[in-house]
Amino acid sequence: MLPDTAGTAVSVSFLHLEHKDIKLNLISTYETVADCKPTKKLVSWAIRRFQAKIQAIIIRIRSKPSRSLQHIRIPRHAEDAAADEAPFKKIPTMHVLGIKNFDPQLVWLGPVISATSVLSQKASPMANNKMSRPRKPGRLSVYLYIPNIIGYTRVFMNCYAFAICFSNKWLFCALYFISFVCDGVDGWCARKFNQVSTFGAVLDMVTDRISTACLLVILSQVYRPGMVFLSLLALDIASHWLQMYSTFLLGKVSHKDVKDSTNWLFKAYYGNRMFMAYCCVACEVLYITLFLLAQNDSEKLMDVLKSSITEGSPISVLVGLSVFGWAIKQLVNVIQMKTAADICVLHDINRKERP
Amino acid sequence: MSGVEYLINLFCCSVSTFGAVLDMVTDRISTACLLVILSQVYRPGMVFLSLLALDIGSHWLQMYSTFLLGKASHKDVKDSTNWLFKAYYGNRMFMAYCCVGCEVLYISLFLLVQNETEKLMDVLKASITEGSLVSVLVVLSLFGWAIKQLVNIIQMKTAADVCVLHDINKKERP
Repeated sequence: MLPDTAGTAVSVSFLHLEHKDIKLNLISTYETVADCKPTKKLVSWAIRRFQAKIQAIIIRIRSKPSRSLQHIRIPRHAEDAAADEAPFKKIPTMHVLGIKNFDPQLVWLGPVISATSVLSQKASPMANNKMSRPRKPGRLSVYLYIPNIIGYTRVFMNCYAFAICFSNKWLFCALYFISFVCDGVDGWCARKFNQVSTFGAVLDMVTDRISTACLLVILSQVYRPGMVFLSLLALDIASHWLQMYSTFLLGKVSHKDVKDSTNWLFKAYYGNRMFMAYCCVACEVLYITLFLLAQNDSEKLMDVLKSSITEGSPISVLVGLSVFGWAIKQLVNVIQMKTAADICVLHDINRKERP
Repeated sequence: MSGVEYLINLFCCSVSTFGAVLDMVTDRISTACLLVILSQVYRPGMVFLSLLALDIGSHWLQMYSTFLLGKASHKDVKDSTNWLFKAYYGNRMFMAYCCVGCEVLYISLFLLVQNETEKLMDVLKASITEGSLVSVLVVLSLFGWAIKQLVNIIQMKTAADVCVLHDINKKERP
């Protein structure tokens, strides 16, 4: 092993030498070269080279089993204790090596390995803090997953879109729609690249809720009565909040897993992914279309709806098609709220029963 | 009202999950609707939209991380090292002042509205120079509001870290 460039970690080696009943666990230290001063770097490099040579020797010994080792039995408890403790200790325990009973070829290994481990620990103080386990993915790497980066892009796109929503309606609608499409894309990416993360799911959900909320806020500004959209906002937030709460209480993975539900509408909605997608898309399309249809600063909602149905333009066709999906989604939201509330109450009742 | 609920809970000794969720949801929706109204009458409206987004986002993430950690309430942050957290959650009076200050600020801003659209900075400046009761309330509550929003932002970051660490730990334990 040659020394890596400063800042990179040296590889971990975890050698199991199994010969019949003997296990020899060799753990080399896990160190980062960047933590050492130049002279210490040199020393630890030299030690690692030496350890590399030892490991090469062990591999050679392993390939030709010695007759004298066949009769050696390490007591069960010692072997188990060694197997349990060894991964967490930097110096291999002497009883694992069984100095007295070992083949002469291996006898010298014990003190040498201990010595090199101690020396390398002294050379690089940081080695004490690092365990010989495979490095776990850092937090930053999860934040930089591809689906999460798509999530951040969605957030920025939404921020920009809402900043320009009154000055450039069409750009706002385009950005909002792209962000909505990215919602599905990042889930697909997560599954494809095996980068599914809890943080990604939460980011997805929160971005959805906030973008829908902001769109409803804008609609409540331009349409009269504004209370209609305020109530839709309240229903959206409340139903999704309660759904998430009840999902956690039940220990389900996602609130979309409603296999044991008896309600026919639930089964139709959640059972058929295409229907669910249609309802969700229709909801967003209706809101965007209503925003595009608003010509003045304040419009009467019923007038706009009536005129759009009697008109024949593509936008009004969109409105007509999406009203049905929107209605189903709101109905499902209401039922979901009731179901989730029931789950909260039942959770308490069951908890009181089990003392 | 949630103070009254808290007192009732204290005396009746019956804490229910549904009650806690109802409490939280009602809080969020009422604050959201108030911010919606403020964003209609004040310019720029983006300020209040961003506050709405911050409020919903931070409380959502807090709740998620509370569940992942298995804590009873997101207000039980005993093991936090951040000094602001300790000050905020450790001292219930300070936390109450910040929450109340936030709501009082929003209500006062709404009461200060004379026309159909106002410029936010003008109203704030006028309220500081004026001496009326409402403007005094605005000045007193600004500090509490600022602290609460700061805590919201930090809480969002902490909760995101909890989600990420939960995944990392789950991968380690096969």
